[in-house]
Amino acid sequence: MAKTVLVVDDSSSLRALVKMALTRAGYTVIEGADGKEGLKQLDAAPKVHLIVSDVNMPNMDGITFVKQIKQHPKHKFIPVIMLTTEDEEAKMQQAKAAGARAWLIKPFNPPELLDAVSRLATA
Amino acid sequence: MSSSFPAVPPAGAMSAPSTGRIASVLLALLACAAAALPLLDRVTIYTVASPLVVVVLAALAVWQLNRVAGVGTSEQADLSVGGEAGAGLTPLTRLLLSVLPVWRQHVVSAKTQIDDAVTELVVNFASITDEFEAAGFKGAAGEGNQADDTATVLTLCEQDLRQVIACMNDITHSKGEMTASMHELARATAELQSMAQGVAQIAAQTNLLAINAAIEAAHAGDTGRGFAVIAKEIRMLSQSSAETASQITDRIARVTEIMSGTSDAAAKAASEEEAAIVRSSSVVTDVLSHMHGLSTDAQTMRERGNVLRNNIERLIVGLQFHDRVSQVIGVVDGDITRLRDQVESEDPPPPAEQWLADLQSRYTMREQRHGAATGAANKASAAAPAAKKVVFF
Repeated sequence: MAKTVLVVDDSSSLRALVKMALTRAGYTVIEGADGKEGLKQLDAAPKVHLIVSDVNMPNMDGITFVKQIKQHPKHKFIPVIMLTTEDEEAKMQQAKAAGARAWLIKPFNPPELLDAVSRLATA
Repeated sequence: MSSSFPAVPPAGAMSAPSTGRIASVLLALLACAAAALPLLDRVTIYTVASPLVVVVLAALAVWQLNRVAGVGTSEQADLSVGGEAGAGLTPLTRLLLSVLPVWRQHVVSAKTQIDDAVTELVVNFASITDEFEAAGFKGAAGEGNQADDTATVLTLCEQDLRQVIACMNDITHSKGEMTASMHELARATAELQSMAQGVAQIAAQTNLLAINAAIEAAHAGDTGRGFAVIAKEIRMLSQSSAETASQITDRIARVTEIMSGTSDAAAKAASEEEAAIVRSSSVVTDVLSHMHGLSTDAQTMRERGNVLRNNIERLIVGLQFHDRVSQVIGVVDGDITRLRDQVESEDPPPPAEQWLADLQSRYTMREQRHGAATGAANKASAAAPAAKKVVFF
């Protein structure tokens, strides 16, 4: 059965690119435009095996989103990959402290993304 | 709002009332001077004309003063116009408050148009790649083993068809052996026929001998009666042998006839089978040739699929330009809003360095920071290697 990945990014085109890369590899993809929408999608989906999230988003940024997930009893075990244009070490450490499992800098290369997803997605 | 603003008055521009008073005093002094002239002893044309000239000049001076004062008056009137919102605003402030929202509107419009266009482009591109993969251009292992499965099937088919050809060849060989056996049987039958003829000849000669014996027995009289009986029996045996030989001959002839027909039929069948086998082998060879071509095509498709996949990956990387451009536009949009808020508040603006520092704190990408960088320190930062692409925690 295909694994489900939640993609959270305020850029619709970026979500479409990530979705294309993941669906070609056999994953099912659901989307959210920011952290708040991402939380709604998590509550609505039967099971999510991994989250790919941007950092800089309106309404709720990525690091806050990760913190919210890690406090949720149902979602806290879902691994999170931060996919971002940020290259500041401080931001990366914030994400790590919040509970993210990987930091991937845009523009992403599909094989790199797929490798990270396959390594971290839960069974 | 007026399309062109009047010139900003120079520092120290006078107000209308003070200008009027000065002008009045000057005029009065000139008038007194003019009036005083006739009191002089010498009355000449100059005496008469001078006051007039002075008065005219004074009038011109007053007019010019009033003209300048009128500009200031109109500007003061402008400053006092503008309603409740524009009270106390300079023209530059009003200009910025009017223009900045328009700029922001265009910036947001450009960002939205890029968002929509690139998203649609990506969706269409994804659809195209799906169609290519459905057509068989799937690429190397990891993204579908269709080409490998096809090659395996083709190999198995080739093996099976070659086995069929081998079986056909075996059948042809067996038929040949059977034909040879039938020829051998025909030769043996011919030999039997010859032997039967020999037996008939022997029977005929024996009959003659028996007849001769009977004749001699008759000549021998009574003593030859026993011999005559023997001769008679021999004659009967020879006749029986002759009949048997005749029957054998007939049977052999019949068998020979049957075998001949069978042999002809077998030979004909073998010939037809051989021709069919040759045709079948030719067809199988053609099929194998086509299958080999298909296998080559499948390999070619897989190779082209790999090329296509690599191109798709490069395109995915390239299309992400939009996300970066969008972030740059977003930062500019935010700063336009911040500028407008600053202008509207009428508070003293912060120093440019502080403003730019605040702007730079919103940068999210290396090229934004390096694009705004100046100085040797920042050049060194710009020359630093890019951060690692993937970091696992």
